[in-house]
Amino acid sequence: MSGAQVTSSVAEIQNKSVVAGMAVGSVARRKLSQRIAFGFTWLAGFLAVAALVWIVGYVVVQGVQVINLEFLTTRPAGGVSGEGGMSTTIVTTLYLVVLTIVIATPLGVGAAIFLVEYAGEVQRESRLMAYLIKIARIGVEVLAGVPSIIFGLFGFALFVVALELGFSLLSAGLSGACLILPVIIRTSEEALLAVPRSYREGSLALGATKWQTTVGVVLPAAMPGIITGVVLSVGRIIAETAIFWVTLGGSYRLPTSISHAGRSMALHVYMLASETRAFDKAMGTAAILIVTIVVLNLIINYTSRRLAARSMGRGR
Amino acid sequence: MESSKTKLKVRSFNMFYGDFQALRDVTVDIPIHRITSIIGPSGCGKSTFLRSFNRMNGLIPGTRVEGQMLLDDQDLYDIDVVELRKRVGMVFQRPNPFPKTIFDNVAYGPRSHGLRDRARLSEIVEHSLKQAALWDEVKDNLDKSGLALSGGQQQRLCIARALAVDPDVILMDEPASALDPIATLRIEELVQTLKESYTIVIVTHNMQQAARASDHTIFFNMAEDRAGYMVEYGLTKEIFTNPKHKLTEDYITGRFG
Amino acid sequence: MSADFKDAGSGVRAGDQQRHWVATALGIVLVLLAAAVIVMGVMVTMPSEGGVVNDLQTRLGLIAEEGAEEAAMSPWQVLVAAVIVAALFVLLARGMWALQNWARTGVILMLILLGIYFGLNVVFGAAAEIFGGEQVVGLGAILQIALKGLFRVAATGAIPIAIIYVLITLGPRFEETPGQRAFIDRGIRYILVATALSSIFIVFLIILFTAARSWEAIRDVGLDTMLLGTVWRPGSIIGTEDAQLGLVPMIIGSILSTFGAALIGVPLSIMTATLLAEVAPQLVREIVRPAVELLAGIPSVVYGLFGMVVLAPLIRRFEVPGNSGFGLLNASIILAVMIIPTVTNIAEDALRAVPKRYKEGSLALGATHWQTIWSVMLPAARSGLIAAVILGIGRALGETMALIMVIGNAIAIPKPLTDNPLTLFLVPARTLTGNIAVEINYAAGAHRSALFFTGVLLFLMILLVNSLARFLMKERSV
Repeated sequence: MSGAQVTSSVAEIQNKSVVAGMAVGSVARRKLSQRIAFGFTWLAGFLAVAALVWIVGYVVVQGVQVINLEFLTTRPAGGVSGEGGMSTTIVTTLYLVVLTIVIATPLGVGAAIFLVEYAGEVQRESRLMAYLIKIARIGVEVLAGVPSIIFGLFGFALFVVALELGFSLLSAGLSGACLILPVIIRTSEEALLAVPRSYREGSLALGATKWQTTVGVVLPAAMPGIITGVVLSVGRIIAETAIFWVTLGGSYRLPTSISHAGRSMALHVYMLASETRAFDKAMGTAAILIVTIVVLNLIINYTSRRLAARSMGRGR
Repeated sequence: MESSKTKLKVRSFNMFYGDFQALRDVTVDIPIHRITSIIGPSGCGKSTFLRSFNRMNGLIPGTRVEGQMLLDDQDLYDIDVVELRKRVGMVFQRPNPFPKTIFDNVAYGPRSHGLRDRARLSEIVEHSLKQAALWDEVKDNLDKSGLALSGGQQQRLCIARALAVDPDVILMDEPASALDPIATLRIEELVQTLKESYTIVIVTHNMQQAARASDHTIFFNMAEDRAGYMVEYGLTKEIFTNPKHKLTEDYITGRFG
Repeated sequence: MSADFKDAGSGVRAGDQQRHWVATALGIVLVLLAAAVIVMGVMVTMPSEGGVVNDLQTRLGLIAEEGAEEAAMSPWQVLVAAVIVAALFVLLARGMWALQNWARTGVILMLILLGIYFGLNVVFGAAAEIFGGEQVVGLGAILQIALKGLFRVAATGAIPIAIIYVLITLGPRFEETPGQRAFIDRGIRYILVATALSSIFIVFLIILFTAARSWEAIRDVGLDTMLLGTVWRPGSIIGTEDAQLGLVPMIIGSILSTFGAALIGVPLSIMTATLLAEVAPQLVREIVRPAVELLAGIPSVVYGLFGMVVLAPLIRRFEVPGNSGFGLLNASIILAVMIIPTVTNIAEDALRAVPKRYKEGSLALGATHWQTIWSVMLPAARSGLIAAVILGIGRALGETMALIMVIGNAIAIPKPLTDNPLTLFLVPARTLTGNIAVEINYAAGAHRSALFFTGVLLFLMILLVNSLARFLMKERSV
């Protein structure tokens, strides 16, 4: 909107009140409509928070009733009954998280390092590389928007069937890694870009090589941001279901190697809710899920606030 | 005392950013164990010239040089750039300590070059901090973050860091311009003590500083096509009392720049 | 003084130093290991009766398992592998003796990898003991198992850890020439290029595999049948009927549920965004914004569960025949809550990005705060707001699990239950995403291929939506 449009917009408002003829009353009327409008915004905000409180509260309150040591350390009984605990699902989720992070983090951070530190000179050296790098950036954007069911479908087609890995931790881990790769690349890129140029200059002027500069100065400075991205991805994996529904299988047993199938906590909630009548156990599992996510969110908030403080407070 | 030994020789040096000529035909000698200051109006290429000595201009794409720059009679554009920067160090305008401990800041240079022996590193750190006149203030706090020091202390830390790799030449790009007057004075005193062991080239926009603190002075100016060129150079005493060019005299007396 | 420290920078040359006995010993060990590997390699290629060799043969896959015609691995493969491993060990040994830094790094890495492998075994085993059983395992037992595991790790890990420690402290004695360092630099650059290109590689693979799998359906069933057909009866379960693979019911389901979600969620989100950007004080913002972000983190199955257990009974209260509580209304509400974080976030950014001078200009002319927001700021943020809505729509289109749980999954085209057209929303339906999730596990042949085609369709739709949003957001910043 241009300045002229602003002025004409406001003039319109004023004209209406002039036409209404009541200079003072019109102010009161405008103030009233403002109060009503703002009331709606407050209502909206309240509804959003209320939705959160209702959902989280209901699930946690219902779920807590089922949770005890037995629930946490015995495995689900399988079948239609929905009896048993959720022990194996907790451990399977843990395995899954570790596996996806181990696969995706080196790839993602490496890609980010390349895009931020090396892409400039590589682009100048070769037109082919410049083209490929541009496509790589688009690739990351595309990947970021793909819904998880498509990753699941892809994982199913490639890992489960074509590579004959079957329903297993490995298939699920590889698919999950694809899912979180764009997140890690994006957050790592941001973290690396936030490192001031002067650090790099200072290091190079001391006779360090580019790689030494990256590892010795830039990466350590960008670490908090990178870790935030990793923690975000952990939350994503824990919450995901669709992608693991088609790659992990649904076995309630504990996988003893990465080629075994298993069931994550989120999957367990789904299977309990849709295949059995054990809604109480589903609530219990869901409650554990929510608590885990909330704790992770708190960690993310804490570290990103420390990040902001550090970059603003001391030094430059 | 006249110095007969030249550390750096510049012969018909030109520098281009793409098509734009930043430096034109510079020829000058930089003597060993002396402080040489570079003065001139803004934009005349002083910093560009300084950065040519340790090839930091190479970080910008499309730069091109013609002519020669010799370090101990070796063309420094032929040497491996990492090796070059071990012999030619730099202190920047704004202090830029790394977000590491004071010890790790100073030890960073030697560590990058392969030295890992903890005992020797400690020796080097202590020696460098002493040379930079910072040791007494931080010797009990080597594990504190470098960012926690005051501006003047940070700059001395950066000087110590540059000294730790034991260079022959130290380039300083307006090292005190971001500091308060007292800190500035301390840096000037420090630079005086350093010249006994090192060759110092310092860019400054503060003429009084150049006049009182340096042995030789180079005066740069900007031509109409915005290329930087050297007007004259020589002993500081002579440049400031008996300049050969009218331009120099005009600049020194404040008529422009 | 200068000369003294000049040496310090260049490291120590191997010839100047006595070869440390650890390096010599490790070198010898590596050579012996190499020999052992070769011997074992030869032994397992020869037939044997029982005992250790047979065990090893089974482990390596040299003996055909029951029911299989051939063994998984041939003797030649094992022999070649043994030779390669032995050569590697010999190379490392020579590097060790020459006190080369790369050998040191190599041995440390090898020991770490071995450690991880054994550590994982211990972890898997302990976890199975604690969590895998049907009975409760008391806290005491858990501690016992954990301690046992730690003890095992410590016992077997003591020697490797000691070796790693010694190698690290011996660091200064190993040399690394500038030539080697340059080589490493270049090698690292190539590795980094590969990681950066991995993202395109994955996209390429996704397109390749899903498109390839959908080709069968396109060829046999036809694009027109799938995109225009109104009946979805896979028939692969029934077997006798011809499969009818029309996606229209699912397309309508996706559209209606997304539309419903947008109807509820978009106004809510934009008003919340206004609240956060302009109206609320700092304290309230610090409550509402984290709350909205938390909404984004809640797993979709939890939303689905909530919809099943809480919303469905509530919706059933509408006394309409055929109302089961599961259907488009349930789905729309749940989906609306799920898109609130996305839309609010971007809308808030859009509002904050409106240049201050517009707001100040309006206020200075005597308009109220709300008038300013309504007449000046919201219009100015228009492209950002539209982008926010579009991204929310994209999110809704891609949602799967929560929808399956609440939308009823009926395969017919949704039609209103009574004369009142609003009852359309009480009808169960199925979305494109839900279709894939529900049927993929048991679909085969053309049926499965059609599901892959659905995936491709979704991929393209969301690609379109996201590109549109991104285009709008870029335009705004110009």
